[in-house]
Amino acid sequence: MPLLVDKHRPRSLEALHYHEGLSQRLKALANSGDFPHLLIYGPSGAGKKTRIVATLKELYGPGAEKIRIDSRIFTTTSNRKIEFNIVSSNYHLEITPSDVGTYDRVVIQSLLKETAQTQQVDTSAKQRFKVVVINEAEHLSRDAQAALRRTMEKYSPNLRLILVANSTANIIPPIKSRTLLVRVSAPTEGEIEGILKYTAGLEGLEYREALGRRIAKDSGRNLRKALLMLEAVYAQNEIVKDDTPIPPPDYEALISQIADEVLAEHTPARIMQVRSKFYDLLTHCIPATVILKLLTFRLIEKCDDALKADVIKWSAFYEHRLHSGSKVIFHLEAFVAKFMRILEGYLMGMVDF
Amino acid sequence: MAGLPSKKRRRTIIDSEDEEDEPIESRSSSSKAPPTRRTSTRTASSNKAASNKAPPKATAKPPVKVPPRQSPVKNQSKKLAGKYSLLHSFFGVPPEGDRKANEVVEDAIEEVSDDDSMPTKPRVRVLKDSNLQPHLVVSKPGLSNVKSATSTKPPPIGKVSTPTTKKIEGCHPLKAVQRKLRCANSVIDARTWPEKFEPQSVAELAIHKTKVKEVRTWLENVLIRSTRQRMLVLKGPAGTGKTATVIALAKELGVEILEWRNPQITTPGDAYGEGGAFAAGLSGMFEEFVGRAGTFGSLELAPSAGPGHGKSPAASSKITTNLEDGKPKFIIIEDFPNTLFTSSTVPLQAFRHSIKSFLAIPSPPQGAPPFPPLILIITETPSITGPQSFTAHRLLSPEILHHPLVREINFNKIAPTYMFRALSVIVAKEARESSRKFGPSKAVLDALSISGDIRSAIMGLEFLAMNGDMPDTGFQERISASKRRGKRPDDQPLTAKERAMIESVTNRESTYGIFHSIGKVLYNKRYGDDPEDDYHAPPLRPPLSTLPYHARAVRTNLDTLIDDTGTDPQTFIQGLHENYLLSCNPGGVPRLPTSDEDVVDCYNGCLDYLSDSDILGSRQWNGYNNDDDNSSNIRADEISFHTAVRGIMLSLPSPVKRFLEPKGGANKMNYPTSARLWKEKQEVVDTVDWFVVKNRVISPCAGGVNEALLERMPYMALIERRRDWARRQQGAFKRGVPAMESEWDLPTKVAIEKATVFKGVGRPSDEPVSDAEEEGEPRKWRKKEKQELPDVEIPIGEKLVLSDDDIEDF
Repeated sequence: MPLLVDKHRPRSLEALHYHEGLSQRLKALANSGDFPHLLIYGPSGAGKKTRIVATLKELYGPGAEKIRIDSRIFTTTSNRKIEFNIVSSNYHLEITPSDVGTYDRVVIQSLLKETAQTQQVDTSAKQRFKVVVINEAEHLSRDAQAALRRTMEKYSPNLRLILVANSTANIIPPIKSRTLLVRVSAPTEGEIEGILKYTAGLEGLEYREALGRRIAKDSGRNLRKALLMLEAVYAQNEIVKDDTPIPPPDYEALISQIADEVLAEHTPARIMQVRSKFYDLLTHCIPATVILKLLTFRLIEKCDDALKADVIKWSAFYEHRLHSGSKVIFHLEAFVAKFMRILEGYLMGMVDF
Repeated sequence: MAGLPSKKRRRTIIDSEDEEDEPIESRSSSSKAPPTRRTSTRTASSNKAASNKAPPKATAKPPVKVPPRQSPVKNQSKKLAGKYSLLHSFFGVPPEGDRKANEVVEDAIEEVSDDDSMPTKPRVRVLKDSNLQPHLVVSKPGLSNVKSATSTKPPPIGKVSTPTTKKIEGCHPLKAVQRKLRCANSVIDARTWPEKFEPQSVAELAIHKTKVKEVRTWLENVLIRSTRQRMLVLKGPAGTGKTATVIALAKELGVEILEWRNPQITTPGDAYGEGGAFAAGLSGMFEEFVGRAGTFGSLELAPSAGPGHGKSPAASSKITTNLEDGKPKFIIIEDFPNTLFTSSTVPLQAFRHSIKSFLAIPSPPQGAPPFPPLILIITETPSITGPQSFTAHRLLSPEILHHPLVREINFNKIAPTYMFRALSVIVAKEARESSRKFGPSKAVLDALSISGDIRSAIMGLEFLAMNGDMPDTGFQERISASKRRGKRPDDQPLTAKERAMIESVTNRESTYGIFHSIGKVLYNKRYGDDPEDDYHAPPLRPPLSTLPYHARAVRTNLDTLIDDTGTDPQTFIQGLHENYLLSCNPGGVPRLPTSDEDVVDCYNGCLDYLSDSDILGSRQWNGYNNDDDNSSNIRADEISFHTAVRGIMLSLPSPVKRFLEPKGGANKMNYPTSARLWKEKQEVVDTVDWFVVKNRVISPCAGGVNEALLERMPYMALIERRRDWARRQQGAFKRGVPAMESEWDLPTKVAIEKATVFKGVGRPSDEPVSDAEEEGEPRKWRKKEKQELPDVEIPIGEKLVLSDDDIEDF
């Protein structure tokens, strides 16, 4: 049984719940016969991929939903071979460049060329072109983006690109100018509540307004997260009430625990305990930035207003160092020490830090 | 003098030498060749044959001619003896010299001198011959010397050698030699101890019973075909008895073993046959091996596999097999093709592919003979070495490890008690064979047992036994019945010499280097700490007024410290980071900062500098190696090193009193945890990748790694946990009610648990640890006995909350 998030995902543009205007435009585009390159951007959990899949269905019919996964091998210029997974249907294929790391240019070039040089095999297909979806387009290297730009013009008869990104900040202007930019903004909390209610109804769960409101608030307007939270709450409790606690993910719980420990005691021994928790988080691949961010928010919730500016300042300072340095544990620990220093100074009555 | 033989004479010698059929003579003559060569340049330039001919001794009257040549030998040996006197003293031979021991050593030295001055080829040949007449070869140099020395009284040069001669006569070196002889006789195969005393049966294995049972159960299940699994992955550190277990079990179950060996010839071109038949090289051959063994496993495997490889001239890969048919077989792969170790991923993928295709072969029908199961034995390096090293995870990818037909069994380091028992048995056995009178003391065995690597422990034992007849080598315990019955008090501690020796045997030099130098920084010793210090450095003004100012100069020479760290600067800095916190302590010495705030300042300062040093350091640790500008990297590392070291020394109080609240042990220095966690991290990364790929098939909108890691998997874990609990409740209260359907298949569940459950990092001090202070306290050997964890299912819910007990505060 799949997760609710996957089970009740809208499959067509008509079934989408919010951004009706956008859905209509996408539908019009798909039926116009002149489908442009798209760059779809918006925060995570806003429904970008859902809209893309629905658009593909609108373009090609249900055949676009039959996907398979192939692993392909590409040879780089330095004659190194890389294996790479490609999700594809008869009409489109999908790549995630962060899978290949620094070799994304080679992969993108050879793949697009190959796709573009062959016509649509299925003669009954609605469209003459194929679609290539590039996930996480903001992680494409500069080289790869430059390569894309040429390809987009050269092979436009046979090929349309849909780029998906969280923000357009890392995408080079030539690409932005060659694509139709579509922003999918995050759903409002009210919209999320509506969807939660609808989903609960489909599942036959007893929906609680207050709980739904809390979930919508906690999710940070991330619909996927909200649905996962909903499912977790209902899975964990036989009877769900308005004030049933929403279980946080383990890593968030652990970070909250770190925050409490940091606030409670300022000794070297405490730093050591915190360090081993950091190691635990890092070993589980929780990005250091996420750790720092969550920790900062937990800390400023609980400390005096006078300190908040300083805490944020040092948090930003060490977040920058996380990226420019290589041993993240040093900077995380340094942030903790700095926070303890500030707090200690404040408690001693000298807020000159 | 014999030193300058004429050409003619040499020729005659050739003839005479041809008539010689006594191998001893040629051996001894060759051993005497070096000095002759030294005297005449012409001979020196001649080849081996000439040098063999050179000694006139090879003619009719050996004894007479020997002495003149012997003197240079003796001289040389003296030189060598000088050189090795260090060794003597190191191994506890008193400088004045026990005569007997000296002689034994000199024998050895003469052999060594052979090695030094001879071209290597003849030596090799001689060694090969040694299979035929081992005792002759082993002991001959010594014997012939003795003979010649005793039988002749050469007037002029003999003077040098006469004292030695007498010594020899005096203390019966022959006895020693004869003992050696006996040894050599009984050990004709001359294998090393780990091979010689390899466990012959399951009972002899020094491995925990449950582990053996686990393997045995699997193998038996495969043989009786109650399981369809066909691949067993045994992994663990070196010397933990993985291979021994399989071989012993195979013997017991009456199973043949087919083994992949790396082919010897790896030169490209001719080796790979014509027309690029083996274009893929080793991996190709390997793939073929696996494929063949798998495909034709039910057929008569030996003939089909043998010729198959014989076809290509280069493929010297052997399949060791008996020709008896009808026995069930195991395929063992222990020696992985070298190409898998390179950075390129192609061979690795080819390897995985061949494994996968092996797993994909459909099972034979019920009546047919079963498949030979594939047993991979993977020696993992548990620590330190970084992401390039070799682990089962890296080799096989989670996809294979999670495959339903694959079973993975992890071997732990051997517990000291088991190891001790095994070593004692070996000592007893060996003593029976060689009639050795002295064995190692219990303390020595204890010290050897701790390493957890049984192979190296036995090697160490053998090494100690080489010098077993000398005093003070750790072999002073009389091997007697009484000892074995335990009537003697066995718990004397190690003597200093024994300890030194064991350290040299179980060599961990570099690791001590790093702890030692970390200690130097973190103890922050300065001149003037002790009142009796006579030196007070001139007070230097710090460049910035904000820096804390200690007017006392640092005792450690910081300019040379970087050369003494025994590791690279970045690892060293990580080591500092791992250990600095215990030095940030108040209350050591009254004039030091003692308030809480000062302590905060202290670690805050340290961390500031560490953070700075990381920014300044080279980038190579960030996953990507920029090899192109190495010089700047080295420079950057140096800067980073000095920033960290000097910054920490500025920030720490001085003197330092390290302090650890509950347990003590503050003097221990730990190896950087971060350097040991890469393996776990790699496993999580692989697992998440696998999950992402799998998920993409299920749901078209599933996103990338971050989404899976931060949203999907944690919540799936929450949901699953609850269902687990509910299932258990149902099982407990409503028997007969079918348990709730599981949400996800097993591999997914395993993956989710792996990626989301925080168990706390392991103790930071699994690695060898030293008591870091440079002077004083004896180094302790920390016991690292890993408890065998029984496979009790711990309710996952209990692991949900990470209590303080889970995180071990060290």
